[in-house]
Order: sequence, then C-alpha cells, then structure tokens
Amino acid sequence: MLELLGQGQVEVVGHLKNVSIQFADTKILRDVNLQLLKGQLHMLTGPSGCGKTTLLRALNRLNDCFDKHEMSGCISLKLSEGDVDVHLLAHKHLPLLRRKVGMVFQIPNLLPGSIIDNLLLPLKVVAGLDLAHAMARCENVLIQVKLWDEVKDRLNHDASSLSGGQQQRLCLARTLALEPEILLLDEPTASLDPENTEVIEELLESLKQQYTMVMVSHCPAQTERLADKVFRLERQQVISG
Amino acid sequence: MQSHKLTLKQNSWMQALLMTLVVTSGLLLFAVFCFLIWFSLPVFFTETTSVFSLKWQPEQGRFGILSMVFGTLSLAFISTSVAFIIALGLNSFSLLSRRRWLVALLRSLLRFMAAIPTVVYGLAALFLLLPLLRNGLQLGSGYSLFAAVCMLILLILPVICVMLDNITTPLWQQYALGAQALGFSPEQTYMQVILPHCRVNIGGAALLGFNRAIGDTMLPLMLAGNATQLPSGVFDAIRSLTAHIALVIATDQGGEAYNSLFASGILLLMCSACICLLSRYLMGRHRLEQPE
Amino acid sequence: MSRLIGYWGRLCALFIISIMLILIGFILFKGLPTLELSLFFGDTAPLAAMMGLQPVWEGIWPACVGTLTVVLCAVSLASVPGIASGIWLASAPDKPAQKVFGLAVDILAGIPSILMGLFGFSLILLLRGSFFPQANASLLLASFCLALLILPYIACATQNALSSLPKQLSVTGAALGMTQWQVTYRLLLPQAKSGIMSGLMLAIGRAAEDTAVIMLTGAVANAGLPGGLLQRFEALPFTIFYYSAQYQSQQELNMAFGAALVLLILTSIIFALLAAIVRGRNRSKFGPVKSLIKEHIC
Repeated sequence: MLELLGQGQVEVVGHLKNVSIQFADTKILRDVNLQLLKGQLHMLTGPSGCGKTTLLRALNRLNDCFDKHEMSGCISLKLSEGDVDVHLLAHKHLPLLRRKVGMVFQIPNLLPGSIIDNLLLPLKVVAGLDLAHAMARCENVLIQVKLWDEVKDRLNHDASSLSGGQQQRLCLARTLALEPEILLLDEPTASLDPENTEVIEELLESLKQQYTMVMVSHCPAQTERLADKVFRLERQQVISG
Repeated sequence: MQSHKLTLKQNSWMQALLMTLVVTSGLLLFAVFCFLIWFSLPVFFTETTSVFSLKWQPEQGRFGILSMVFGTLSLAFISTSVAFIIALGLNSFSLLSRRRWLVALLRSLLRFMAAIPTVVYGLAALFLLLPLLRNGLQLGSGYSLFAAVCMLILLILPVICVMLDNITTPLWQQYALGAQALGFSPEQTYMQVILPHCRVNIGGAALLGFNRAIGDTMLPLMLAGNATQLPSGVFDAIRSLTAHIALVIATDQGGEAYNSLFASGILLLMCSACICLLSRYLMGRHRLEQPE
Repeated sequence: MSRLIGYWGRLCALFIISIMLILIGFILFKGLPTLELSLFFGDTAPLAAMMGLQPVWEGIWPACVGTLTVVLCAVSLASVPGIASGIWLASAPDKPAQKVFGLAVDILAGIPSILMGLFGFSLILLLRGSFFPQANASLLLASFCLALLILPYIACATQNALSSLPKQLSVTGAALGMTQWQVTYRLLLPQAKSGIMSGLMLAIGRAAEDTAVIMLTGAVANAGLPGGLLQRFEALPFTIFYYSAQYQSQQELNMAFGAALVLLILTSIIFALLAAIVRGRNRSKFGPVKSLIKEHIC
C-alpha cells in the first residue's frame, strides 16, 4: 500500500533523530532514527528486552517517571498546536503532551472506581469538561469501541468486574475520549485471548485513518495484518523493515 | 543422630514451654486490664463524691476530673488535626518531588523524630518555646495549651506520616504511571486518583495519631501548666488526664483523690481501646508495621 | 487547584526540616559544653565512682547506670515471652484464640504508658493490703512494668517477621519430616532474625526513653547507684524531667541538658542500629539494586 503512494505524498508527523536512552548505566537505545507518517500504523518489532517499550515511552516522555533516566537526541512531533520539540518540553507541559499522545498499556491499567468513573475522571480533570459534555463523549467513545451495549446497564459497577478484553477496550475508549492525535499501543492484545484480540485488531484497523499509531507487537502475524510500516529493533538500533 | 522418640519428646517439651510463656504473657496483659477496671469500680458504685464534675478542689472535697477530660480532648483534637494536614503535605512531597535525595532525607528524619525521647522534646520546648511565648508574645507564664500542642504535633507527626506512607506508596506504584500517561499531572494524580481512593484508610491513620496524643504524659506535664480549669483560649493552662495521674501519685494525696486516679485511668483505657479497634477496622490490612 | 498541594508539600518539608534542625541544634548547643567528666561524676573521682566505692553527688553517672540497669532488666524479662507470643501468633493467625490475643496485644501497644505506671501503683496497693506490707516502688517493679510496656512491641515485630516469610518454607520443613518446633527453631527463626532484632531494638529504645512508667514505680532524683532490686533508682529521663522543672542553680540546669544529650545520643545509636538492620534485610531480600531497573524496561 505504501509503495503505491510513495513517501513524499504522506505527511510526516513525527521525527526521531539520533535518540539514545539509558537508565543508570545501562544503554537501552543508541542513535535511533525514525519518521512517523500521518494516518499510518507503525509497528515496532524485535526480540523481548530490546527497548521497544522504552522507545514508545520516549514519545510521550513517560520515561521521565523512572529514576536515573537520560535521553539524548531530538524528538519532534507535528501536533495541531504546531511542531513540538518533545525532548525539550518542560515538566509542566508534559500532561498536555500526554493528552495529545495517548497510550494503551499491555495490561489494562484501570483507575480505581466504577466503569463510568474510569472515563469521567480523566475527562473532568485532564480535559476539563463539565459533566454533560463528558457523559456525551463517554457514550460516543464506548459505542466506537463497541463496548456500549455491553456496559450501558452497569456503568456504576466496579471496572475490575469486566473481562480482560472488555477492560482493554475500556482503556482504549478512555484514551480515545481525550481526543489524542497520536496513539501509542504497547502490545495491547498480549494479555487477551484470540477472540478479544480479533475485536481489538478490527478496532485498530478502523481507527487507522483518523490517528497516527505506533504499536509494539510480539506477534509476526499481527504485524502482517495491521502494519503499514514496520521497524525492527535489534541490538539497540532500529532497522527499517 | 537423635532417636525419633527423643525428637518427639523434645518437640512436646518445647511446645509446652512456648505455651507456658504465651499463657503467662496473656495472663499478665489481662491482669493490666483487670487491675485498672477493679480499682476503678468504687468510682462508679459509691456516690459519695462525684468524680465526673468540673471542679477539682481536694481541700474542699471536690474531685471532679471533667476539666482534665476536656484538657486531654482539646490537646488531642487540635494537635491531631494540624499534624494530619502537615502529614498530608509531607506525604505528597515524598511522592511528587523530583528531588529524591531530599525525600530520602525527609523519610530518615521522620523516623529519627520517632526515636527522640519525649522528655527531650519537652526540655527543648521549655527553654525555646516558652521564653518566646512569655517574653516575645507577652502571654503570661507561657505554660499553655498552645505550647503543649506545638510539641505534641512534632511527636505524633512521625506516627501519621509512616502510616500514610504505607497506605499511599503501593497505590502510587499501581496507578501513577497509568494516570500520568493519560495526562494527569503528578499533583492531580495524588489529589484526584490516590487520595479519594484511600480516604477510609487515611482516617485510620489519623486515629492512630489521636491515640498517641491522648496517651502522652510528659509533654502536657511539662508544658501545659497543669491548671485544673476549663481553658477559655488556646493560651490558657490546662491539665491533661495523664498529667493528673502523674501529679496525684507524685504528691501522694491518698484516699479520695485515688478514686479520681483510677477514673482517669479507666477513661483513658476505654478511649484508647476503642480508638485502636476503630483504627484497625478503618485501616484494614495496612496496619502491619511498628505499633508506635 | 491541585497545584496547591505541591506548594503545601514543599512548605511542610521546609518547615519540618528547619524546626528539627533548630531543636536538635539547641540541645547540642546547650548540652555539648557540659560534656565532661564532671557532668557524670561531679566531684568524685571517676574510677572510684565507677567501682561504686564513693557516692556521686551532682553527677549523672548513677542515672546512666540506672537507665542501663532498668532497660536490661526489662528487656530480659520481656524478650523471651515476647518472642514466644509472636511465634504463637504467627503460627495460626486465623484461629480465634490467636485473634483475641493479637487484639489484646494491639490494644496494649497503644495505651497511654502512664497506665502501666498506674498498674504498678495499684500492684503496690494490692500487695500492701495482702501478703507483702513492705511493698514499695522499686527497680523490680519498674522493670516489670516496663517489660509489660515493651512486650507488645516485641510480640508484634516477631509476628510480622514470621508472617512475611514465604509459606513454602514451613511446608518444606514439614514435608521433610521435621517437627513443628524444629521447623520454627531451625528454619523460621533464623530467617526472621533481622525482624526480631529490629523488634528488640525498638523495645530497647522505648524502654530507655520512657518516663511516665518509671516515674510512678521507682525512679527518684537522688538515689545513687542502683542498690538492689528492691531499692529505688535513678534514671536519665527522670533526671532530665526533675532538673528541668526544679533546678536551683545553673549547674543543675546544665546537668539536665547534659543528660538530655546523653539520652539523645543513646537513642540515636539504637536508631542507627535499627536502620542498619532494616537496610541489611532489604538488601538481602531484593538483591542488588541494579536488578530493579530491569523491570521497568521493555
């Protein structure tokens, strides 16, 4: 698909130049160079422990939450606000960055509380919406991830009462509700059974044109099914695949 | 190589020894409760002089301890409330601050504060705080509810802080990364995600601090003035139940006054036991660590 | 609005650190100049005083010895029953007997310490009224009450230390054919050693600093070296309290500050030992720190 279009016609929305990351004295990534294209799903593959999650987390500066983290190089993203030098952002601007660059984790990371709390709290606190707007957006986004029919009668139940697949869809809904521009997905189907995996994959396929996505996957078949562009990480370096 | 029979015999001997020690400790601890209750029974069953009245004038035969009860309660409420708010601040600092070396320093300082003897706090306050109140702010002799409250706050702060730490740290480790990935700032994560979730447990921690505040003897004895009156303001002198017990025994008044002693004792015991039970219930499985 | 908590936290941290610096600094400032032989021994020759050949007036040596004696007695009285109670509590935490006992221990850990002194006092009253009319406040009574005070700490610490051991350990021992006592003595206790040690350290620190109990059961301001189990004795915390309230000369006040500094140094040493034990335990539990970093990556 990409070969037909030719790279010049698709907009570049992200740039990584000579990015090196280390934690304490352990070097994780060395001189990584990448380009992200608009509306494409970029897949990061490679052996486990080679730095895929670290690279993903560099894009929303989540690595900053860990001690003794050092990053050199240049990361810039083209968001609706303009070109953002992610590596230069001050600490107080990071929450806004993370709203625009949403992340879904490998294991569903629910917030404490009920299903509707999981959606409303970020909308109230991070997006600053009032209750009416927040509820409307909740419904829309739950319909989008095909969870609405399953949960509409039990919105006040504890979120952990959902099955694994439902929890992961809820996390995806929660991230989508904040209206990000780039989606980071860290092996989102790794903890799910084949049926739920299929549901999530269909979802991601449908989101492709709206969002630029960067995904980590262990499964070659999934890579083949979903990816528009594949990057292979080996020995701390990126090899375009 | 011991024969099997010998091993079994040794096992039963040691088990018997263990149980003897346990039963002895149990009986002794039970005896503490019993003695205090036994000796306070006369208070409730003889109506000669009412111990639950406001005036303490032994020469006139009045042995009311209610003003002491009020003293203890006001001391404990004020110091616990202030210490709780400060402890929340310190807790948030230790989770949110990016200067980890400062957080480690603060943690060690708080644990060190728990190791400082209470008399040393009293001594320092006697010659630092009281002159300040006396000369600087012109507030009478300086011995007051205020002075005792100030030092009591420092005393119970480590208790509440350590408990808050035990409660919020696992929650932070569980939710902070996900919340920050969603775009919560660290402060918002603390206030909107972590704290609301452990409201009840934190209440239990505050109760532990309250328990410590009603139980201390030396600080009220040295700093609060020991006047048997209802305070009209925070700079008045008061007497706490614990200081009362110490003073009555020390001045060896005998007879009637002893009733007030054991009445104070049973009040303190009941109050402390109830708070302990309530705090256990509220804190659930967090009440592991040191029972300081 | 949530940003306020950030500012408040920083303010509190600053406040606490400065207050503690002022307090400790003050004690050091007033106490350090008094730290010389005359603080401990007054006018008496040190060697003669330490041998007990000559009495010490105006010195805190008897108080130091008194504190050490009463702490030693209290800990020796309380340690074995405390550890035994902890072992029993940890052996079957869900049985009703253990639950009730655990509850009692918990409550007693939290009661005002003066109630232990009141208990000692009521013990004297009882003994006087029955078969021991000479009963009086003494070293024995004070050690006994202190022992009851610190028993819950030792029991709780032992219980926690044993409960946090993996269940696998006792199951393995049983599967090998070891009796319950052998499992406890040879497998569990050695592993829980540091936890029990820290409980003992905590108890020692508590016994050394407590004033309310000994004040009512045997500590006085001038008794010389501890003369015997049935005699009254001096102790550092009480000396500090007494002289701070009733000093009649600058020298007596200096004694109070000197004693405070000595007691502070004593409890600081115990605190440092406790911290070292805890650090050693954490290191052996979690392995070298480097391995922690691995968990966060990829």
